[in-house]
Amino acid sequence: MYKKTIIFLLPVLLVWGALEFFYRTTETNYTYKHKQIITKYADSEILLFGNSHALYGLDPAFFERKTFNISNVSQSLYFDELLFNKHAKNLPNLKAIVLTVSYFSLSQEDNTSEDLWRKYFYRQQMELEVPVISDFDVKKYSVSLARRFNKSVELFQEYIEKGTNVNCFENGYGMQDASDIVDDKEEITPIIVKKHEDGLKDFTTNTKRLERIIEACKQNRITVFLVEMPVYKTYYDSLNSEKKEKITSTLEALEKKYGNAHFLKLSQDARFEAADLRDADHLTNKGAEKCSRILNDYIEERLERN
Amino acid sequence: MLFNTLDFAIFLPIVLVLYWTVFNRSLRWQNLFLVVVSYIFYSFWDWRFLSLIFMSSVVDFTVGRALVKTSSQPRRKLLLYVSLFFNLGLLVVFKYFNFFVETFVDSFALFGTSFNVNTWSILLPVGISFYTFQTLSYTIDIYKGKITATRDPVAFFAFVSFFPQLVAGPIERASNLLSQFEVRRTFQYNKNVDGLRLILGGLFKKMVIADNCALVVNSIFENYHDQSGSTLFFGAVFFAFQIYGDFSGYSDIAIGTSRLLGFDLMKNFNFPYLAQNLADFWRRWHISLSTWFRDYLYIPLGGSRVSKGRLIFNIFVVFLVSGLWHGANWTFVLWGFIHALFVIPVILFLKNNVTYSKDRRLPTFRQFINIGATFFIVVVAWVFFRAETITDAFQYLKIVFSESLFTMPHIPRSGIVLLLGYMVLEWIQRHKDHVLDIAYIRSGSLRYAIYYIVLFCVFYFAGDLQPFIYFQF
Repeated sequence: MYKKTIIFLLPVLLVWGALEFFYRTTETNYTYKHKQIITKYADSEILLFGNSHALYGLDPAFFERKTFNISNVSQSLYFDELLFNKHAKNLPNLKAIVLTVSYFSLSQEDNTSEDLWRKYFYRQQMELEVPVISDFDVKKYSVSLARRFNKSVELFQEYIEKGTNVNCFENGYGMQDASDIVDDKEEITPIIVKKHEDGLKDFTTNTKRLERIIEACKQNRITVFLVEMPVYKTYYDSLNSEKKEKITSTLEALEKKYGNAHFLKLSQDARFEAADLRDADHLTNKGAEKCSRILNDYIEERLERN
Repeated sequence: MLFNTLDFAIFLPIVLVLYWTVFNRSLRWQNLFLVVVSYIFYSFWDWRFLSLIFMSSVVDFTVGRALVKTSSQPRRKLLLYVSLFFNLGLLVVFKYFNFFVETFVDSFALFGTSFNVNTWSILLPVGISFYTFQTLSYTIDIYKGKITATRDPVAFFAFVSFFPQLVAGPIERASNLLSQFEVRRTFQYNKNVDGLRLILGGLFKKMVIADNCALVVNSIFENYHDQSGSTLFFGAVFFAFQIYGDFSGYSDIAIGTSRLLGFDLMKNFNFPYLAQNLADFWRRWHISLSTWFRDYLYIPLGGSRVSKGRLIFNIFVVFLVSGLWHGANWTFVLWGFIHALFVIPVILFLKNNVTYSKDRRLPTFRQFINIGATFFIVVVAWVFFRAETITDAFQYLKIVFSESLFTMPHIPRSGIVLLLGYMVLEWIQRHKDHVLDIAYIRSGSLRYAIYYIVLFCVFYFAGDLQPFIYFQF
């Protein structure tokens, strides 16, 4: 009976082993960024943190100083802090960090179901110690178990077609092209708004997290830039006003409290137009160029003043 | 710990290996091991509520022993009331207290009297409705002299906490399950193979059918005001398959897991959407609950051997209580009421016992119409089950039965085709124990090919992980 069961399950075990091998040997955005930041330790002056809004919205190529974008899709402030703690101490020339804050960033709970699989990849492929992962969690030891099978197959297909699973440039900026631009942004906006509305207004955990980062930066004479990235007007208007105001007041309070923190609100900045956005909340390459230049000028002005 | 998680995929093989090798030496060791692993299994949800299962086991074991030791009828009655009071008391406190208080306050508010009463903020212990009914049946059966009380406390504790069916049934009777705890289990090849088939089929129902339907259902029910009647109708159809896949999938895995441990649990679903009328539906849907209500409520009320008026009353009572059993909300009561409304004419005027011929490949035209009509009523009733409030349910149905019912629905059409395909499979297997009961296929290669296809679907087409709906009851 058990012999037959094992024989029956053998193909499943083989597929599992093959996927584990694939994940452990193929370069992804996580392994690639990890490798790149280490090579840039000596000369990086600015680090850009955040989720996909930063990944596709801030291109280090348009910054005057040596800049690296260490953001990733769905990267929460939880991982921003872990990455900061891991790398900042190795960057002797670090002058500034940019933390992009989205509508959901401050209310986001640690270890929620949203993209739960990513934490295992941060641990395994970016060599982060992730406290929310239990030692009894088998996914800690096998990342292929963390991702759904169909997603693993898709990733494998992408690797076969493109020869890589890396979707970002050497400076960490995310690759995107015309095919990513959504024609009808109005139609997609309610779906995105709903996806981003967690109904939570408790910012305590993430505000404390930001304060810890700002404090650490202060001790190392690093300036912190808190940035609200540009979004599509209908998207912004559809979000909860009370929560939006609370986000702004929280970030303003941090700016006021800490001399090394600055808050730049670009969410509805008049310099951006609809064509600068590829969907409800992500910039196009052109929009990213504009945003990066604006942020660069702002950073340079503040750094010179200091 | 959910059946469809990696945790369970690791937990079960460890349990099986230890059960059949280390703890296989004696009945006492087998039972003791099952109690320990069942308590570990339950503690993955909330270890604090283990005390309730423990207390329930202690009370009913003690009451059971006391019932067989006394012949005094008043004392026996008192003992039964102790068991009823304790078990139903647990349910009232943890499940219905807030509902009763709010209903009380609302009723008086209708007459202009307002009360300021605080409700409790208490968690509903997972599986409480299931294991309290199971232990209740034990003491009632002893009281009625149908069974005798067990002398073995370990067997009884294992019977109450048996992890495959602890949190969502099937609700077993002591006469079937407890007796199996009193005999040492031996490994049986065929039983184990069928157990694995049941688990595989159950995972398919839950992860592929229910979890994918859930995505469609959630988006439709959350924004039902903005949808057309046709979309809402198919939203209810998808919910019908979600709840079926969810609950029958759970039951299949529970029964399959039990078989791997050497137990036979009762069948809980028998292709319910092939029912030809509502009474037939209730012989096929959540059989362990419907037979529980039949034996411990309907028959004590007089059953069908009473006047027509009393019969109608009895049916209403059973279905309203059954509705309330599902949840402390008037939506469930109304759901039960609708079912009662359509069961009564069947029992009063129609041929109650309907079967399918083994010789026919296709249903007759009349059977086809009956299946369709029954499914339609069941789908409409599911709207009340799924809706947050009664008002929502009526507004939902108002949109369904509007002109927009005849517009093109915004639903994944491939989903409808696949669900129809699944129903065809159920029709083919209608006389079998379960949909993956394919032992009759002689070719081993073909059987293996079917298993691999199902396994691939489970891995590849699984929807986002959703909690089992019946866990909230």
